[in-house]
Amino acid sequence: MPEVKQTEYRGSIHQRQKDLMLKWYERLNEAAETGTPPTASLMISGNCVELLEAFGAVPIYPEVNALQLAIRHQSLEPILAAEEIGYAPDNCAYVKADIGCYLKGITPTGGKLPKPDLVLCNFVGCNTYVKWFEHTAVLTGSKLYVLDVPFLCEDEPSQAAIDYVVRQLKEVVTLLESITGKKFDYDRFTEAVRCSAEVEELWSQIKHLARRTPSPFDAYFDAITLMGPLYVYRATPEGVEFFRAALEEMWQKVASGQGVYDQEKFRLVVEGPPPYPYFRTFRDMFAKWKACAVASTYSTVGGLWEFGARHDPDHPFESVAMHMLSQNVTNRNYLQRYEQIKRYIEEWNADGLIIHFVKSCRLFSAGQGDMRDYVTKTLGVPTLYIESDLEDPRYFAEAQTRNRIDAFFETLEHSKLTAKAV
Amino acid sequence: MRLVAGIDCGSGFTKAVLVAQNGDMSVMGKGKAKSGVNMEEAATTALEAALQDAGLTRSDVHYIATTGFGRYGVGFRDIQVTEITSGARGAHSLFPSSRCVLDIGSQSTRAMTMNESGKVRSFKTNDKCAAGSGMFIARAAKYLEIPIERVGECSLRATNPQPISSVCAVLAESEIINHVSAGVSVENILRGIHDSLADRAVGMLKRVGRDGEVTFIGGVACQSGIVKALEDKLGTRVHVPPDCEYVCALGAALLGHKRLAMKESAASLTQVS
Repeated sequence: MPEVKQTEYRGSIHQRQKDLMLKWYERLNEAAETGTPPTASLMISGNCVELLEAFGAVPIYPEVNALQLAIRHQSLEPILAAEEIGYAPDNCAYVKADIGCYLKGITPTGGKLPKPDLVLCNFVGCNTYVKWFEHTAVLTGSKLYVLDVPFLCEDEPSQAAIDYVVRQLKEVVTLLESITGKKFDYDRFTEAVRCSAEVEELWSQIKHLARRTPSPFDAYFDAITLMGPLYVYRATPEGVEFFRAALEEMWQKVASGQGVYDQEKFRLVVEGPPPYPYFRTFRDMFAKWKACAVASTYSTVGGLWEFGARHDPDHPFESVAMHMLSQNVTNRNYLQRYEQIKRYIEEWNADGLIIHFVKSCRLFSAGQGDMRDYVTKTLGVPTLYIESDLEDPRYFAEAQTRNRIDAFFETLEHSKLTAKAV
Repeated sequence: MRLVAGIDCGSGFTKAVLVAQNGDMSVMGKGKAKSGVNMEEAATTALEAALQDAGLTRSDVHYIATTGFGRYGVGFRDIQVTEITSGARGAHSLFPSSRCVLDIGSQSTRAMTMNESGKVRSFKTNDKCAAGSGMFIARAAKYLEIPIERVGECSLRATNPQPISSVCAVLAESEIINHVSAGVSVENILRGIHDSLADRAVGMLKRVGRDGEVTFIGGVACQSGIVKALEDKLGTRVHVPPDCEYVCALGAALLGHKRLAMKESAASLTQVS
């Protein structure tokens, strides 16, 4: 088998993504140096960035900073700094990287990161975030508001849960008015919600293109690249423009029959975040087998839109609340995640599931053993279970990971050949 | 005669097996070398030893298949396969009725189930802890001043095995020291170690879905003490091939034969067309 050493995306959208993310860091640097624009720390999943947009405030996503450090092989230094002051090895490595960055003044681009004007803890599913943002607020002296978002135990949130979140969002509005000295601009908020709805529609269309054979992009590795603008620019015209361009580029690839590889051999669904400190190495382990992810649960952390949910400019507060309660993978119950994976396997025509267990994130990873059993035994779909970490390079064992991946594809290759023969 | 070499580049030792096809498949020779830091060098040494064993030369070898952790480190290979695939294939060729393989090597423990033709259906491997592997026994043997070759028979003489409960290979040494200080015999300590390894292996076999006979391969299978411990815990007889540490290399050679035949068949089709 000819070895594919490196896989590069064959389009221009990755460069546009880099430019946009750099622009975001420049704005944060400006905020650090001049005090404007105002900034607020947010958790990615189930965020209410539309509210910030109404005040012209810029979001700070500690998770994005942490993964940017990891992908640049710079995460260990802040992690060790956090451990030196008492964070345990078993604490979330994202938390330690973020705290370590504050302690050491490290940023992914070398610029400055501002002290947030508001630490807005929109924890959904991740209760580690409550403590994380409490610590951030103490370290930075910033104001802290903890949004209490009830976990989605049923299929849909109750009206009481929606009202409860909406009331809190309105408290955040009052808080932002006092912090920024600006009056809440309802029209600007509605426009931000409209932009989000449009971005979600475009992103959803992109994801549905991965149903095609070959898929024009890798819905795990390439999706991760597109997720940066999705979080930072979702509620902005720049976000709409970026995803329009991305969709157009994907359609061009579809029209010319261009896939990720010259020949797509395997179609996969991936569960869990990647080992960012070894992102390229990890990707190449799949590229070698010409295995393309056609869907991933991780790409729905920011929002689960491929099944139809959207923000609604006619009901902006309620739709932001709905997004926080039920339209992101982390606040949904495990049976819903099973159903999500099942639909991906069936509707996106996948050959197998890869589960990446992340030591740092017990909340995302707990229960994945049962998930593997469900997919293997109930659905009859081959599943590979790999363990490492998304941020801490010390938990990635390259030889062992490669071995498992190679063995999985050797087995899958045989079962595909057998199925063809039958 | 078509000759294929299978080379298993393990973390402790590199093993080579030469398999010839003269109608049937037959093993012509085998050789072993310490792996060290240079995989290519170890593979060459093991291959040369196998060739000497068979009375053949390098030019007689038509195809080379590598397996094991160092499989990518051998530049003169034709193909590489994981030791999961090669171990299953090698074990199947020796015990065709067995559907489950346990492979304990120097640093790794693997369990595989396979179908009736030796193709892997499911597998489990250790990758974060080496407490259940051969290196653990090697360290214990060194501490107890017993040559590794004698560990198996010593363990069989145990009358009151002492449990080793630690899940960490390094901390387990502290337990061994405690036992030694308490006057526990070397035999009882070794059987305790074998019981501990067998417990882990049985857990892995259960998780992979063991059904029926088990074939035990890898260097650790040479130790009769652990085979006994495993049989006691499984309540069934375990197949151990005489050359248990060469099974992955054998499987690689058999897979190499298959790949070579496919390659030749594709070449002849191209020639015809």
